[in-house]
Amino acid sequence: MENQSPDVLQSLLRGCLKNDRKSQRELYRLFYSYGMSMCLRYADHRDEAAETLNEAFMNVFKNLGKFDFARPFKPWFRKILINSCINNFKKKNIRFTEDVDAAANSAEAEKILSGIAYDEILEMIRKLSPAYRAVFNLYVIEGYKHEEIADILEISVGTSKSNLAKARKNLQEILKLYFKEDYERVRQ
Amino acid sequence: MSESDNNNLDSFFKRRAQQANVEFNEDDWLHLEARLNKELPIKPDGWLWLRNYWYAPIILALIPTIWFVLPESKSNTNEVKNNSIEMSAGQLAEANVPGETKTENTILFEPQSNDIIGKKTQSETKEPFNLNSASTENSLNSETIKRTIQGNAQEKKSQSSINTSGDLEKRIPDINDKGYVVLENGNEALRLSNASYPHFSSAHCARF
Repeated sequence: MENQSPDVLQSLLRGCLKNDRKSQRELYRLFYSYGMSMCLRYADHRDEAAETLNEAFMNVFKNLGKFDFARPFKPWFRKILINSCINNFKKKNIRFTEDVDAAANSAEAEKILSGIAYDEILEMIRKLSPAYRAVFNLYVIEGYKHEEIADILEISVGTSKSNLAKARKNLQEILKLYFKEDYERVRQ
Repeated sequence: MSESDNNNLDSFFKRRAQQANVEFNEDDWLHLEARLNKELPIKPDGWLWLRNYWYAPIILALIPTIWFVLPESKSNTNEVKNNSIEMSAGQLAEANVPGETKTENTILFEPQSNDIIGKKTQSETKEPFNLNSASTENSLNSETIKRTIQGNAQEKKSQSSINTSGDLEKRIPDINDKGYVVLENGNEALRLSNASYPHFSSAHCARF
């Protein structure tokens, strides 16, 4: 995707604007990895992530007429992706203000495989409760500020900060568990 | 948890998240394509829409063709029809041979500038036979023609305007090569064949 020249991308976007399926497929293929990796961090499982990604692309194709072609596409797409992920949360009636530390408990019960790969990182993030996961993703991975997160998730800034702190704590514990198991496996 | 621990944790997850490389899954695209076909169906733009109307140029070409050819062919059809029933001067005479089988004929008349019928007003002429009830418009059988000609000849005789001969059969007018009835004064009265004036009805014939 990064290797794609701006001219080619512009051409693809123009094609998408004309509802050209080939252009739409090519754009989808180009941004699939980027979009899917993001959706996977927010979703509970792969199918849900794929559904969220397709929802985001539908919004892209429907609203491409509003896109300013003088600006880069990726940030615009990223914003749509995040909105789709958050909307997916909201559809499930997830309360972003929840203060239940269920993720850490479940994490302890599950075996974490050795060798941290991206899938395992995803697994760790998914072990967080949706409210913590959303704030963690938005703040740490996407780089949003607490004010922006509070606005997006319709929560207070204090709740955003609190959720982030709890998400970090849970992830620390998950990582400790992971490394402990790994260490014990090495000792044996 | 200290600030540095937080930073380490954040940078760890951020770095690993950016290393993500998810392989393209064709099934996911097929799902999206199905949605696109439903919500954003393809509409051919530009001239491509003409592909759905490939027959339009043919129809457009046929309209003027039909416009010009159809009346011509209709006219030709009438002519052919008339040719089969139209009677030349000789045929008319033959058709009037007594005892011969009569066939239904249509005679169409073309009024000419020196047409004496055209010059006559309806009040000046009598219609000795009810031709309209005998056959359809523009058509007369040979018997009717004969009777018409004879009737008119009698009428003309009584008026002493053209012919004073007593023999009705001989009074059947001569018809020249052009198909015109030649009057005794040498004028061409009318022609017994032409499809150009289909409106020229049996009533006109009766006047003759």
